[in-house]
Amino acid sequence: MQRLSKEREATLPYILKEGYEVKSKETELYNCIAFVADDEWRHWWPNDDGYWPIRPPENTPHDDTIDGFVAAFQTIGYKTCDDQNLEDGYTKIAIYVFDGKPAHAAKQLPDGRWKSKLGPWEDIEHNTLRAVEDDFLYGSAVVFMRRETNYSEYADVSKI
Amino acid sequence: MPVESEALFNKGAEHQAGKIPQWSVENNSIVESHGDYPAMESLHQVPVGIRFEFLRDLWRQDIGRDSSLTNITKNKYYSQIIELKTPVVPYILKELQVRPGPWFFALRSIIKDDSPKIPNEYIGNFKKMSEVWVEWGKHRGMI
Repeated sequence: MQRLSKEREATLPYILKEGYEVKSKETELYNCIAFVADDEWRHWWPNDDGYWPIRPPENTPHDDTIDGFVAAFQTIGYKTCDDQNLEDGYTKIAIYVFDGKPAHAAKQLPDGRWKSKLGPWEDIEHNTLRAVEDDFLYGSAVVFMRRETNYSEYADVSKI
Repeated sequence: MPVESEALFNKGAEHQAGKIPQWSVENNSIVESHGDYPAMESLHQVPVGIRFEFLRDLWRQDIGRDSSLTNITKNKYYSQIIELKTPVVPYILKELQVRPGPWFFALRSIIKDDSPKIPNEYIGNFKKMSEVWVEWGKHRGMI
């Protein structure tokens, strides 16, 4: 099982207790939001250099609020739901919020575990959402969304 | 000597082949040193490429696993790279050639109106955005 470096593990207070595995090399080409959206060739973020499915009118600031992120994920078929529990026929995502702003996202795997990308670091699979929570950068997973597992992702990505 | 100062000192010392540099890092900023060293007069004599590499490494270490492009480009070390102005541009472009990353805000901040137009379909694709900037630099003889 491949692990993060000790220095990187040390920034994630719950990761060892909850369990995880590294699944990729590090790259700056995409981030956690893109990863959850199954896009590994772009960096998703609501600003001038990030891809964002909802472009604001000229001279209008990007919406980097929780509602803005929810709206972005709605463009690829997700709808808000009540909890993180595994549900037959659905794929879920979780948005982590720190200091009132979205800071990270994770996607549920078919077995109920989660996967996410740690900024410019590696992709990991983690047993719980708690594994990458903290109280200084990602915060906690507080918003949950789901879409049908057989949702046609690529048809939608080509539209945006 | 603080760890950061020591690292910068060593880099500079290597580059200057034994000359003693007159700069250091204090409060997370590179500042001029006023020690009794005869070799260099000011921070401006430290090669821009060395300052860029040093600040870039500090930036990468400081942003850690942050995913927010907003935070990443507001970072104090990133801002110090922007403060290096036009002379740092070739080094940023070379960085984009080997490791496409979020340097576009820095480049626009320095180049301003002469910045290349990035096609909308490339936004967020750091590889494509880097290619546009590298081509721009090549046309101007910067790299």
